[in-house]
Amino acid sequence: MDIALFAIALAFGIFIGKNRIAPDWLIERIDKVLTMVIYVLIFLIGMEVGSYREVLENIGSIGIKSIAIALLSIAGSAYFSKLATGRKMKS
Amino acid sequence: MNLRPFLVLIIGILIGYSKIIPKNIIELNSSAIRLALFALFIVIGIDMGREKRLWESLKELKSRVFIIAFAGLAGSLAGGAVASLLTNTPFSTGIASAAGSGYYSITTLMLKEVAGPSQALIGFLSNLLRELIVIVGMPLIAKIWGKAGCVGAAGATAMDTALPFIIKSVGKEIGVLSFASGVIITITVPFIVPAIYRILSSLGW
Repeated sequence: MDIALFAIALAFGIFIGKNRIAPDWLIERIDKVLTMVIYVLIFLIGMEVGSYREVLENIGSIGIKSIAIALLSIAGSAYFSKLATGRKMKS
Repeated sequence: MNLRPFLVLIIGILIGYSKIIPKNIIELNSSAIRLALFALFIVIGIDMGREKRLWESLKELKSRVFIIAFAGLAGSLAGGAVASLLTNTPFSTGIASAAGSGYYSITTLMLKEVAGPSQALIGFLSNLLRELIVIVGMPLIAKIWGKAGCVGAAGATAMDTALPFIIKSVGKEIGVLSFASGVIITITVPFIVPAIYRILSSLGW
């Protein structure tokens, strides 16, 4: 399955990074490579999303759903993390 | 504030929408995305592997950081469930997007793979917004939920984009914990997002 392949890719990368198998100049700049790969991917995804016109026709409802998910997941995470650590972390 | 990912997405959407590019090339897009995704995982791995202090800090912190990270993740899922109910969104989409924990690039890609373009767009917007809101709202989050709340709310971004804002709001001593919590969530997101989507959608939710 895909997820297993991704895990292998991730483990392979960690192995390379930890043992510095790739050339140093590449490892030093790997965060820039990462940013570039992410932008390429976002662009490709954008193109794909754009080619489904019916998705964009629902952008209003998608926007409202996204705002609700963002706000409530922030509140949920903050509350649960506070709860789980109890008084130990009080400032 | 970094709005570049948003601009890149919009340019991509406009090009896709305009149908400038012939259909047979657009059809290759899915395989291009999968290929780039594998490359992305290898690069993320190298980025993590080279950070010595990451592995050392994980050893030092042990259980506390896992508690804070996984409680935060559980809170995201709960928040996603409530948001799904309020906005009439399928639980699969709402909870999987919330599980993204601000890691918008991977969440978008994973939802595109296992779900479809509209779920991917919700995954992108909700997680990009989460990153922006956390950064802007950190002082308020600190006031309501304290130090642990800041780290939890930041999710995956606690290790990079949100880290300076967390330190500014609650102090430097939280830095290592915040970083480590972000790392744990960052490693978890690529697996938990598609898993949640698949499980919930197979239940018809």
